[in-house]
Amino acid sequence: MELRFRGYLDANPMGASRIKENPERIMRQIRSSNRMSGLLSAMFISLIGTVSVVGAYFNNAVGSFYLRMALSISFFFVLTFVIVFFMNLMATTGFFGASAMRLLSILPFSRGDLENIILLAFGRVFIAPAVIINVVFPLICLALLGPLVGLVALAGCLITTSFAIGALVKVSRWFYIKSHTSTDSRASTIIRITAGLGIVVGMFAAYGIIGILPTLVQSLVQLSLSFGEIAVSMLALVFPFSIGILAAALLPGMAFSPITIGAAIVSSILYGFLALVAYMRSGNSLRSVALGGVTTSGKEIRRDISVDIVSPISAIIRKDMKLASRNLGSMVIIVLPILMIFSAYPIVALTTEGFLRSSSALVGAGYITSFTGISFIGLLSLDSEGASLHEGLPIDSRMILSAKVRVFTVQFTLAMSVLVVWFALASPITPLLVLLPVIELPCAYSIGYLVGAAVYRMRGGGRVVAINIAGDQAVVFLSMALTAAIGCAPLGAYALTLLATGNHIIALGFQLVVALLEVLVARRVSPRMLKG
Amino acid sequence: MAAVSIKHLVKSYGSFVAVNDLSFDVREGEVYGLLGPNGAGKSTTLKVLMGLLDPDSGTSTVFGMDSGASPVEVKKRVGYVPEELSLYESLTARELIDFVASIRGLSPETATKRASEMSKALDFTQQYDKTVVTLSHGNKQKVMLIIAMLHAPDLLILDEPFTGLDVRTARIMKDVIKIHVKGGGSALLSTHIMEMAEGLCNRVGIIDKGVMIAEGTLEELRKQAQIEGATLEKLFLKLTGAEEEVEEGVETLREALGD
Repeated sequence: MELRFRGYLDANPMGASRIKENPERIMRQIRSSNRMSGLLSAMFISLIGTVSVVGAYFNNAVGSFYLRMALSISFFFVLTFVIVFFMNLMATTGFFGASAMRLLSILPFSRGDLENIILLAFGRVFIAPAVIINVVFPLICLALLGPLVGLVALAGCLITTSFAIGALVKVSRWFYIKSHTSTDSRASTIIRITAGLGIVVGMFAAYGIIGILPTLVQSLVQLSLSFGEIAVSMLALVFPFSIGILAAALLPGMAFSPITIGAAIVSSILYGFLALVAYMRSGNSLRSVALGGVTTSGKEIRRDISVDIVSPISAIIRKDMKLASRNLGSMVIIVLPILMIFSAYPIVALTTEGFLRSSSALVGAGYITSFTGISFIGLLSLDSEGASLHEGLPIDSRMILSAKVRVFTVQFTLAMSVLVVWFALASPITPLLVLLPVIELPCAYSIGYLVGAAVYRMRGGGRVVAINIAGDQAVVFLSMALTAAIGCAPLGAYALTLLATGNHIIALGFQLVVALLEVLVARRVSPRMLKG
Repeated sequence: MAAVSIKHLVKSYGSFVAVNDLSFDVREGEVYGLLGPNGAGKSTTLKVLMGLLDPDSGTSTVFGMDSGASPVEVKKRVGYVPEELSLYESLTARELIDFVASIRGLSPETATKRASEMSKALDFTQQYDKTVVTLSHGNKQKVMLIIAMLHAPDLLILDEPFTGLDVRTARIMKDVIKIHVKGGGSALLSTHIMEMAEGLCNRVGIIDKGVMIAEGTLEELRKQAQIEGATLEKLFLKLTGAEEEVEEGVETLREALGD
């Protein structure tokens, strides 16, 4: 539990301040979130198993039955790897903290006992998905495709789980070291931020793939068919296709050429051996935790003391970005507006007539804008640790808010830019619809200043306060409601004007007028709500 | 002009009165010690002085500036080390100092010179590029002291600066305060450690339950308590009426440990 607790603190920037508020509540939350994570993993895996294998079994659309089955089984392995890896990444970074085993190490346990405890604790984090992968999918294969295929599916699942755990241990250890070690070059910082963003965006993208799995299988089948048997033989060398092809080759009938089958057998044995090595190495990596954790203190490079001065607002932004880049939980919040685009895709894409109507564009833009409020609160939550610094510094709350709004404006602009591209690609009913997200851009200013000032007023009497997203539901609700109101008012003006006049240009004009009015209101009202 | 002037300050948390009609001044060029038991209202007083809390009534000024009305102006002239060290744990000391120097608008040359010299003086150069989370309490305290003194403040406000420090670090901290005052600065500190207050402070104010019960130099307090040659600890216990409580507590402990 201690290890999960530390993982939770690592993933939640506001965690440290919450410990003092209500530790029991946090413990309950961790337990319930672990249960939810296990349940969700189980649901995902069952769903993927059904969608991939059962779907391919009954779908006769393209290519041979054997090739479809081989690719479907392989994609199941790919997706289970992604699920085990990404769903547990945040929880496992806390395992590598030096103090994770501090309490246990002073109790009368031998080194061997401590090593076993850490292995068991790590294993418990993803026990639910691991068991489901290795039970449900082989059973589906057994029922549909026979015992031999079921057996190969089981071997494939074991190999995939082992690789996923190996990758999880490596990446979470690497990220822990990177996020707790100072570096002396901008390049290292950029690598760290990019890697963090890659992990977060990759996680959401991976879940998005589930929805297009049958299409993906179909595309690969078509690609293989166009290149002929040689392409399938090449594919048989690559994990996890080698195992998928081997499983399909065990189905009754002549599935693949002897070369392809031979390649699949040799590769599968090789991957089985590599999985065993990965498993052993994961154990060794985890054992280092029992011996005092991963050390990061020796990694620092001594440099001459020099102070790098930038403008106060740039200093706040630089500090916020550094904090966010060292914490996966913060990074998720920072890139939330971009992530929301993935979930908004069906709203924009589902057009029965084959083109994007104004109503779909409005709903899509409104949906994404409303969720940006959480992201802004995320920026405010970054200050939860630095109270001692802020108490003594001559920083005006307006200056801090101004820095946060600048970062938020970049996030908001990126989100709206992606929306512009999507609208353009979705064959809009009129090209003018592409301007809808562009005219929303001034809302970044009004949302930032009004939500920030309201929250500071509500929680700090106008002074800067750190916000706790997970614990302060009232503030989250307030921010979302305010964001929705501010973001949707210009969209509402557009909708009403369009209904009344049927003219897109006039409607966009009214949208712009309301958006600019909100900027004026924010300029006048927010300073009055703040205190130095 | 007094460096600090507090007049009839009252601050309550709900029905609990933390500071009750408190008044005192800190003169320029002196070290003033605010002494008192836990919960006496010392930290609350310092927070009001820094403009972090609004008083219910009364005034608090720093170099004539109202700390409630002009907290930013006050903080420009003050170096403050709070009791609880809540720092950005994943940043390095270097990154914290860069942040603070930028916020204070210092020139790179001045900031580099001061950070470098203070790090050497505090034996902190080895820790300069380490993340805060890896630093000991004493080293975190050193970071805060460097940060508090980076802009060469006119007034140092230190809330329990010696708590949890080893002998060497406590000695360095004490010398830093002395050097600051020698250079024309003033200091206001709250502390539990009577030896430190005795060796460092020009004047002390003893507060209990939010009320100032005695104030002055050590000699003036001795006269007030009518105990000649008494240590500050003895005076503190006598003036706060805690002598009997301490004796009772020791007796209870003796019985408990004797079983």
